[in-house]
Amino acid sequence: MITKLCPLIMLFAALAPGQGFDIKRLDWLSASAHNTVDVTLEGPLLQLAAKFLSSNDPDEAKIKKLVVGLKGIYVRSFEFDKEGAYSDSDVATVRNQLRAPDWSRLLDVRSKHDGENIELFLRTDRENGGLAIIVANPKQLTVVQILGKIDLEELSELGGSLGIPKIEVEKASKAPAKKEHEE
Amino acid sequence: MSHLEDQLKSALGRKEPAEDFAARVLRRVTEPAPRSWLDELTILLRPPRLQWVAASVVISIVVPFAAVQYRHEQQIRVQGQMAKQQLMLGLRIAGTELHHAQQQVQRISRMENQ
Repeated sequence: MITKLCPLIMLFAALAPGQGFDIKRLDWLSASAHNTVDVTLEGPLLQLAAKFLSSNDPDEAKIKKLVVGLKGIYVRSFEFDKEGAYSDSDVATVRNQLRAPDWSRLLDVRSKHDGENIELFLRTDRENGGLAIIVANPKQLTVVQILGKIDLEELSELGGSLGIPKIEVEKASKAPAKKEHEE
Repeated sequence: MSHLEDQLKSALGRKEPAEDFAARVLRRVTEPAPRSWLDELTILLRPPRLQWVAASVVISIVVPFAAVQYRHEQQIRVQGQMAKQQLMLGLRIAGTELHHAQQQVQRISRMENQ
């Protein structure tokens, strides 16, 4: 009985609305990577981190303001010595979790020249906003997921602080502009 | 008879004390009297005063509580600093990748315009 129910439960879990994606599925890649960045901040720990940000420092104050609406920040970055350490299917397991209607792909840049693929996803739900970035190089894979109410204007205001560049982002609309380009 | 009188006079006659007599007397007066081992034992077995008992109880409760509280706050401080570093690192990577994506889009736009 349980064995019959398991696939059903997994299916419901996968289709559950308002969920982010399971970034931990990539963790096994750390075994073959020579450099790994693993950032997982959510709930109380995220708010605790925000408490330690200084309000007197202008840069930290901006981040502190931004973090208030966030529910989680997850980053996985793997640098490999040689190409082919991960497959397209590994990236696909992450990408497939970022599906409509919760997530919409804002940007997809594929470079045949250097084999780089950059994808930017946005969660349009006002209550459960979010941002996801997948950058796949032959020797590097970086996945960033920011969950929660994320004000793109505030994010753009982070330009220049912490080495975060100024990015021009249009005001979030109900149906964000989708730009795909294949080089 | 006169011999006896002379002896009495000599015995009862006024004699000046030694020069350090007054100093020795004063020193003995100020020195505490040496206590015997029985006195020491009696003091040790004497029931303590109530205020000392109360103070001991309060200290034995407050000091461990304060120590635990201090350790807990230290742990939270360390945890918070580590979380802050993680937050900074996460946002730095997110920002870098966003910048990279922006650069790629600008590069493609320029190529399209050309």
